[in-house]
Amino acid sequence: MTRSSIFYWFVTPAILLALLYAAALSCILVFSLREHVPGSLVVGGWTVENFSFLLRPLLIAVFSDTALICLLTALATLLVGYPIAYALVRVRSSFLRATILIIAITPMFTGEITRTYSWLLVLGNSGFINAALLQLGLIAEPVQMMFTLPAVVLVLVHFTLPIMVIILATAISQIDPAYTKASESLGAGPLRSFWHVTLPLSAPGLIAGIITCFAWTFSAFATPQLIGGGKVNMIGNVVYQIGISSFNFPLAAVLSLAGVLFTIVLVGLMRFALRPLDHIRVG
Amino acid sequence: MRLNFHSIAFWLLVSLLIGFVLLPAVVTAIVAFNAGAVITFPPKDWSLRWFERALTYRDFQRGLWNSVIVMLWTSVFAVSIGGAFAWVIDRCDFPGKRLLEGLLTSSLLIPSFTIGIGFLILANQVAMNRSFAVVIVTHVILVLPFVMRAVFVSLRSIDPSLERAAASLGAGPWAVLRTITLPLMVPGLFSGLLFAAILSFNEFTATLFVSAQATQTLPVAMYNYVREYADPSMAALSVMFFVMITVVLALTNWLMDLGRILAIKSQDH
Amino acid sequence: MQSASVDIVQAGKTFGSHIALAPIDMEIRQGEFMTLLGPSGCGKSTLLNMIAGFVTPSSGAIRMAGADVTRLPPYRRKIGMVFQNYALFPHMTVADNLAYGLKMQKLPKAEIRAQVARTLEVIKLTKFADRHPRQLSGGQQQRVAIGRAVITNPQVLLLDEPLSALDKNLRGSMQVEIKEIQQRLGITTVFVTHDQAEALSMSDRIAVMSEGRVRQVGTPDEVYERPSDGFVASFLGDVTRIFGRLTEIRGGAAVILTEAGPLRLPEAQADLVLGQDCEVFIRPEHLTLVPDGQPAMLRGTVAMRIYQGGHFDILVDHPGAVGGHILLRLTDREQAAQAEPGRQIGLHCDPKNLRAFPSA
Repeated sequence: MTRSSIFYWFVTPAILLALLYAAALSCILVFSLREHVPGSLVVGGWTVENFSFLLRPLLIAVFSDTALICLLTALATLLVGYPIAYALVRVRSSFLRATILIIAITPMFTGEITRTYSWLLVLGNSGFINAALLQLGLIAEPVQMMFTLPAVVLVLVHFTLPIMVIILATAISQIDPAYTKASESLGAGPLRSFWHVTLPLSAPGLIAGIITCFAWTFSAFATPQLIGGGKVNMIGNVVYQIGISSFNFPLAAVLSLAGVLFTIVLVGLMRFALRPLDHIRVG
Repeated sequence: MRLNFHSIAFWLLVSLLIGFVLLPAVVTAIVAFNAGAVITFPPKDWSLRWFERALTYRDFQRGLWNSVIVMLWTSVFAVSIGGAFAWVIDRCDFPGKRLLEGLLTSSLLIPSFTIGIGFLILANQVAMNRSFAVVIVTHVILVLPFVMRAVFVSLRSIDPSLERAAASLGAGPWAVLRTITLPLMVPGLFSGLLFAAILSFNEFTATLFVSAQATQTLPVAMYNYVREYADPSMAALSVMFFVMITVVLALTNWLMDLGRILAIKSQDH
Repeated sequence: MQSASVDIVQAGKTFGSHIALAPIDMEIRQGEFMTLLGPSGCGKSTLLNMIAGFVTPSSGAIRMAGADVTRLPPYRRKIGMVFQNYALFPHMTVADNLAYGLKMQKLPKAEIRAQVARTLEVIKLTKFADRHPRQLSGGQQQRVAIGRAVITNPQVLLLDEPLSALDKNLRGSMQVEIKEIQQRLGITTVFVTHDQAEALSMSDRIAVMSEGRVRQVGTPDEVYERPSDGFVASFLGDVTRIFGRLTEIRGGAAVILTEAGPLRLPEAQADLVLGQDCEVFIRPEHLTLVPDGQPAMLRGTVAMRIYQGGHFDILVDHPGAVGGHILLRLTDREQAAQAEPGRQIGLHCDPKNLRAFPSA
């Protein structure tokens, strides 16, 4: 292929941007190996001491909580997202379809702060749910939902739902409806057809959806910060505390680095664990 | 679909789940029109005062202005760099292609706080930590994978023989690009622009790291507000947000069929 | 612009270790309708794309009107091309599609308008000038594609399976239209197809290709009646093959011993050697029914009689034939009535119509 001048014009900006980005990522790498000088942004000499920080029980707890929250969120999002995605593909009225689609994907576009803030109003001690339950006389005292792990997961599910619905709906819509018809013509009821035909054929979407939700949740910051209120911490919160509140760039860099490696390892493990599902894919 | 037990149960379930998605927006709307400074359910009185306060609050005004600046520059850069690079990925082979592509889409996998702290340290090193440039570059990196994906999908849907036909009729590479490829890429570029604008306008985590007082965007201003005050101004602002986003999405759907942009086909014909 | 001859000189294409096209020589004369015929993967599209300039040959050269164009990109060659799926620009009207090549030549607007109007008339689509391609039928789109390819008066017209997307009825009339336009313009044309009927009916000459090689180049009559090898013989038209062995060569004539006894061929194929296993090729229309009781070249039981509208295809069981059947084609209804399934019949073929090629 002869290379036209277009190629050079088009690839150069991308390379420049990539260099900037690589520089930013290398900063993390370099700073993770430098000494922190308390009270200053200037760093000292080279050291590997910073990495021992990762072994503190507090940090181990944060990492395992983060992994747990990500896993629970990904699975719960799958359960909530699948029926919506299925409905999107199968609904006949185009108006209803557009409505469901817009409602389902809006949370992706409303931003972390707005979304988290509105959940504060729902879950708070004087929030909507407690007020409703109190007035119905179902409870005498407000139920403490804020600052708990399930609440953080609930709000994160709301956040990852759109991407899950998009991925699943794309996968389901690629399944030839003839398969379901064939299954039903062979005497299987709708539930059995779904279980034996549609669900297995949407496996690629399931895998992609779970992994994407997992990775997205990993970067969560505002949700655990506001809903967790310091009681439920994810890695992002600790990085912020150390990096911005105590200006300890080297430690924040170490944590970020660990965060990246942790995501890559976990996503790799999930790909591996979900591999058996992948074989169901039909050419 | 026949109305039988299964389908009734299914649609009931879907309605419940849709209710879950809508719940916070509905609650926020109730709070926003609440007259009192203390949030109560149900509100005792209704008022628009919190909308007024949200719109006149200095930090929100400045945050909005900053957000718009960042959003515009981010969209322009992300769509031109990402669009061009998507073309390169689709059409050319060169050493290091996979590496470059992997790096520029890695922000999907790398947590945004990591990207934020990386650019914060970098900006600090070159003494640029108070400029818009840092915020904009960070945003471009974060939205680039989405822009590239949107453009890539529309590039892929262009029949390659169209460009060959143009070449056989005497059009050189730049003429093919200008008269054939670019016009056919418009839907992809448009959805890429939409993605870039919305995601940049909403970006919070990385921005929190790289923005300073002077470059604080609206989401950061909102975050600071939530931590300090408990009055319903935030609810009013959120409602405006919801309405704006829904209108944009509905318009997009009406203009270009969201389902097609997102590659969801409807079945059941 | 004058239409040009195309010379292909030892041009070949390899992708890594895969040979897409072995180096070939081919001369396409000025104004000639040359068809590249072969199954998919035979290299015909590679050759066409080489002439167009989309594929650069790994070796050899391409010349148009005597000038070397091997390294010239497509947009500098004076070609017109029609694609399999037409490749009409979806964001332009019919008129804009036609005008595209003229605009690229930077002709004055008035002249472009006049030429487009003229071409619209030729392709009978004047009323559709402002429509978009998707609002046209398959046949109309096809005509726009041809109009767009010839409006710039190219030296060579290249057609890449242009009829394969049309349904059968339309294909016949489009064949005629393409041939008419080609003859009126007297334009050198290279046509790629896998459809042997199309190749036979439209071409001045046919190049039969397989596995990256040109097997035979000749007029439709030559390649059909005097195929150069077994592949060409079986790719064009129907054929029955009978196993045998060459037992005797005497004065240019050959005797091949088959299950049905010895068959005498007046002209032996040059590449056959004594004692070699070979196959005798018989066209179904060359076989005739022999009245009962008279000596016959081949005998067998009718297995099936298939009504084909204009003729009958008769399958006759024969152990010596590849596939176990001899194919016989009868247009006469009375004769066909005799070939009842289950009946023993005798068949005859004029020996000069028999061909023998080495077994594959």
